[in-house]
Amino acid sequence: MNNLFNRRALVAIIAAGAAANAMAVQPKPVKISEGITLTPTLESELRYDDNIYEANVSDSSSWVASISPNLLLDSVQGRAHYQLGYSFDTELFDHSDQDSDTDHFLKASAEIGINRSNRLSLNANYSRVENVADTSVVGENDKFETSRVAAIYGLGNPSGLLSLDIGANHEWFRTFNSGTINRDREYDKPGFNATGYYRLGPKTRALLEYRYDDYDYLQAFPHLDSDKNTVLVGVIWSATRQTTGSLKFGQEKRDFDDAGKKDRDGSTWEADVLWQPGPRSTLSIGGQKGTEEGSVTEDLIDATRARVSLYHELSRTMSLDTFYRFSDEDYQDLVGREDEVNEAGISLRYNSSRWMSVGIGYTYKDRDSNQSIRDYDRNVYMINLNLSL
Amino acid sequence: MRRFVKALPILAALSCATLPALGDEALLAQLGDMGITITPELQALVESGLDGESVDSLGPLIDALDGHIEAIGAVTGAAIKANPDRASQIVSLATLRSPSAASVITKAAINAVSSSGAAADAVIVAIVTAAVKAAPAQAESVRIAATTAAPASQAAIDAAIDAALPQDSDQEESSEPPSPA
Repeated sequence: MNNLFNRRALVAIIAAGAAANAMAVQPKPVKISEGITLTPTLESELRYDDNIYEANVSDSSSWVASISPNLLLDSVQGRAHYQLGYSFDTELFDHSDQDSDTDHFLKASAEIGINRSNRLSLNANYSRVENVADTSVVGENDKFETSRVAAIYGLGNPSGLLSLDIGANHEWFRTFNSGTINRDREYDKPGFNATGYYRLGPKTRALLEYRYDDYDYLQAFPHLDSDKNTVLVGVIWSATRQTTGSLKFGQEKRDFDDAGKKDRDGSTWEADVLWQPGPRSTLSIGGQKGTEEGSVTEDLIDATRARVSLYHELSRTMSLDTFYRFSDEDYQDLVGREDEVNEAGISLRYNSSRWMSVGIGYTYKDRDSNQSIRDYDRNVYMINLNLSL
Repeated sequence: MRRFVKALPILAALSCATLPALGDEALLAQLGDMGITITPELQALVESGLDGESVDSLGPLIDALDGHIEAIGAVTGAAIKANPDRASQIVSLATLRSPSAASVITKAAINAVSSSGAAADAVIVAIVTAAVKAAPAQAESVRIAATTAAPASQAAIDAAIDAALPQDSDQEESSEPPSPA
């Protein structure tokens, strides 16, 4: 009996140890005052990228080191939740100092639960970002500032028969490139959206959604001012035992202010389904079809995108992520440019303790265009480290 | 030692019987500290909400809290700690009942599954997706809360939320390579 007990005790101790080791990175917030916390985290990555410009040019490989500290001030006070976050991301390119950059991100949100049937959501975002890949001028970073504010008022409880979300937003898109680079892409965009939900079952709702966006470019040329109206009907279901998702179909109409440009009136769809075949795996499938903003060379881009990803927990401390994405982009331009982009990746992560995880990964991206000068492929090998207090 | 071994099943049974009750009392004390009036009805709802066999039994408790975000976060976290394998279902139910608490529910859920050792990307993505599907209007605050609660899963969280949101690809892509997410 003694031996049996000792064996069982040993098994219990080993099991307890395994459970303790299973903790993923879980940042410990610092309490500032009653109800207010500050959470600092740090991400860093070292990667080898054989085509940092995503262009068909030679001499575009580089080692890249990045470091990204994040701070979040969080306050839950009764019926309100406030969040203020700031992060920056510094990327150092071995290829050239000119490529190196620091991006800044500032986010603020307030969720106010007025009562069970009325709620208000407020968001403000600011980002100042430099892009090295797929730039307007190869070798010169694209530099953009985006500011966005949004408010959404929710009426009715989603678990009831009918509920409604009404929102308004405004976006300012600017460049801080020197000279005239990217000036033609600057715009203001006020928008409005409303979504009505009808309860079909405890976890399923039908929806009718309307979105309006008014693109108002700062420069007259290339005359891309337009109104975009989108109407979608669909169904959204929250977590059943195995699946969660939404399917929407509808019509998108884009009217250019310039009478010389061809308006677009076509179908659009959005799909997003999550399937959990078992407790250790999640398969995510999704995609959408619609128009995207053009530039000096095209009025708009008709894009269809699809993706599939699989997360699998190999053990209590190790997980495997894989993904595949496909894009088909038809440019509304004089030469009829058509691109197909394929991307795939795999990564392995090891959660070594509550405050640290390390990972390795590989991604492949390939663009195949009917304008052969636009073709490229890109291989990236990375190792990353996540830390928190 | 032999007596102790014989007593083990009784001790285990006693532990199982008393642990949920202790959890209820701790939660009620926490709710009281948040300014919630503890009535006998609320006590009964806490007991049935946390100890009920079905996830749905949590619904009346969330309703009774009438949009009090802080309290709903605490209740959801306690329910998930008791049933970590049903985290996404609990998040879905709680968020549908109180959308304005979506970000607090998400954070409480990730913290609860992390402390129970079940916080793989798959679980976190399921939690985030359940919250965003139940409350699409709260997606951005869910993103901030989730990426702070699980920074190592940021790529997976961003992918889950971006997939659930209307796509607006007007802005330039980041120069960073895509992460498997």
